[in-house]
Amino acid sequence: MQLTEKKKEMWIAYLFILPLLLQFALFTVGPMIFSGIMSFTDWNIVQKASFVGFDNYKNLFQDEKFWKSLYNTVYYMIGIPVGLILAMLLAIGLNRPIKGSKAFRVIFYMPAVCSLAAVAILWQWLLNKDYGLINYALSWFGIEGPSWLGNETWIKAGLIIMMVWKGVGASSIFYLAGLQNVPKSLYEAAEIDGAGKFGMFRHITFPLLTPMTFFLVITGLIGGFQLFVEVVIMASNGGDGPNNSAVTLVVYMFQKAFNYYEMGYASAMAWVLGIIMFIITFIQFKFQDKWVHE
Amino acid sequence: MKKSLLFLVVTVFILSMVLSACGSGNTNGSNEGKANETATNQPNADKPKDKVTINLVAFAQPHEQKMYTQLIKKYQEKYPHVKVNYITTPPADYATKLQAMIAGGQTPDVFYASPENVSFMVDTDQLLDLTPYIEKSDIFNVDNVWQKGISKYTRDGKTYALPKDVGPFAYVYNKSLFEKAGIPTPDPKKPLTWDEYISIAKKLTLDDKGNNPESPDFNPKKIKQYGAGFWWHEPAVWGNGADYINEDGTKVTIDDPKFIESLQFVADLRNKHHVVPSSEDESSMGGYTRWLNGTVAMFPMGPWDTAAFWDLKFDYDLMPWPSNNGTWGTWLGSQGFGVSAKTKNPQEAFDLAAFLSVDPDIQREAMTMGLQVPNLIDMAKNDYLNMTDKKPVSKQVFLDVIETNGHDWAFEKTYDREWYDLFNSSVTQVWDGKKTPEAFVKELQPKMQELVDKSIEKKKKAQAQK
Repeated sequence: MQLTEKKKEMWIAYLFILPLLLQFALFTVGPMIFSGIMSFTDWNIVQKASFVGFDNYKNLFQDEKFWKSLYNTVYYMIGIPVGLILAMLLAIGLNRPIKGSKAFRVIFYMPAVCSLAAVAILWQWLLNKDYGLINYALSWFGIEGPSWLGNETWIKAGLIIMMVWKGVGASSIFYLAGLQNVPKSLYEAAEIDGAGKFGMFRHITFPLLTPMTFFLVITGLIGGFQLFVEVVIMASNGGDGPNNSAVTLVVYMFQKAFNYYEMGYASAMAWVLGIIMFIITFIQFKFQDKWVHE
Repeated sequence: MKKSLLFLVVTVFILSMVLSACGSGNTNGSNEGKANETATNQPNADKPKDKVTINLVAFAQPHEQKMYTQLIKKYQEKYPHVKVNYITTPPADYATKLQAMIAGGQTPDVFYASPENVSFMVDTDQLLDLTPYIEKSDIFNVDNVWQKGISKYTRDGKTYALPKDVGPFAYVYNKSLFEKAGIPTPDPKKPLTWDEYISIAKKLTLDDKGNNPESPDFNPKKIKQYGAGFWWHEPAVWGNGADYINEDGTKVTIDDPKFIESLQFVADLRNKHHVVPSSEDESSMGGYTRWLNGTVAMFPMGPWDTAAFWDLKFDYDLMPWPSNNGTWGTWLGSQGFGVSAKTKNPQEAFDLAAFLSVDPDIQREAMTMGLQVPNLIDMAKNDYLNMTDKKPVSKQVFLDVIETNGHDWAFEKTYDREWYDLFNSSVTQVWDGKKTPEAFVKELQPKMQELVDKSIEKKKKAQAQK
């Protein structure tokens, strides 16, 4: 009797995930297989594709712009640890019983629900060399701010600041949830043993938040590899930036596929990107027991 | 009992999912096709022609959309058997959307074709050869359409699209600033030499204390008014008799000494003479805004700016771009109406393209609204030039670009524009003074050549399949 109950529940569970599975099969696995095949062809979207073996992959590794865009993409990820540290501090702050902390939670979360395009345009203004608020704030300290988006050296920094701002609210919500799962008894026990505030953070809060950090690092890295909209809107020359200083892998992929009629090549790029992401995520899971609290 | 019920539910659910997925994929394609079929199969004894539907896909600004909707109405009145489906997209989404439609086998009957895409679309059999239709058309006389407006869409003697517009990128000066500085206004017929241009631009550049670059007290960090707005490299290159690529689009020619000289000219305007905003200043406030504010004395202007410039608080007029060898040059853009090679109703589709391209009423309206120079030569040379109550006064400069001084974009000669994009992204190193033009072209020419060679390969492959 109990077994059938269990089976019934199992069936219902399958029923619940069925729509998602079907969607995944139709719109993710299908196109993935297709692009995998196409990555070995010279498909230009319109005509019949013919097989070119590993040519696309070989060319990719000799493609200067590919390496540059990969470098930029990885560079942007500096924003992930910065964002996580800020988010953790923010969450700890918001977790205190301060008046209006709920309102602050909403305010900090706001950027996450704003349209990316609108945020990008807003930040174009904030980062403006002569009229932007960022440089205005810097001028209080006597610093003459750079031309964030017009300068090869600063454009990535400008974009990172924006991405941190956009992501920090959402991450801190995750941390908040994590904080609220930390048993109060641990802190009480620590207090009795004479631990200070920092000691409690170091030995209780931080370790117990590592599962959240793990999750956020993984999703952050995956999202970071897919950076597209912000760059296309904010960087000059259709997302290239001065001297290709802003272009990311996905932006370059888009250009190849839709501007230069090289869908086969773009597919190869997508697969290389996918494999990189897989390897990184795999390594993270492999080593999670070294630092993630069970 | 309960179990079997559950099974039933699951099965029904799966079926409905699968069916609905298929269904949604089909509604656009075959159902519509069927609707057309039944419409065409009906015995129409009274009507001379079967009903047909033409799909038109284009990007449009709101005012254009309004204009074209009117025009389509007029077209449908003239050809009552045709129904036009007008689908617009935002300009930024257009290229992707069109490619998706083509890839999905749902190419619209009439669509915007950019000159830069014509080679690709012809080689991949996307565009219908319109030449025979143009020859026997009673809607217009092709000799009355700007030759450049046709040649941009012509490959190997066959024409594949009709121009929506021709966009001459002329040059304009702030007359009020010229008069204030006591500088004689430029001759609309004769270009300034580069030296004359630099000396005028210097007089018109002022720092916050009113000093110009010739004064020893001039502070290049606090410039309030610039002699000229952003400088594109194209008018400098063409104004010096150089070019980006050879005539048949096979060899990148940026290592030509005359080309190097023109890059130096543009870089000097920024870094040496301080008469043009640097790219950093440009990113802080665009030249266009500066021009509207009256803080740059000279700036590019296209016919599409006409209406906006009517509101300017100062007087202005057109002038030729400066030239180093007497012949000035600038680019002439265009957007065209192409007809799909796969259309079932080529005649109706062509008629619609022709209507949109050259209907005199709509050309007149676009002209009066300050949107474009008419595509029809007789209208441009008479009605347009005679619109003397509307600025700019020297409209002839626009016509000069269309007829003689306008160049095609260099990448219209090649299959794709990757090589040109690389140039645009990299040339900032010269503008910022990080590299000399000589070192820059020496380093970049082989890379650009490689991309051009690759684009030729792509072209050959596509043509081989044709």
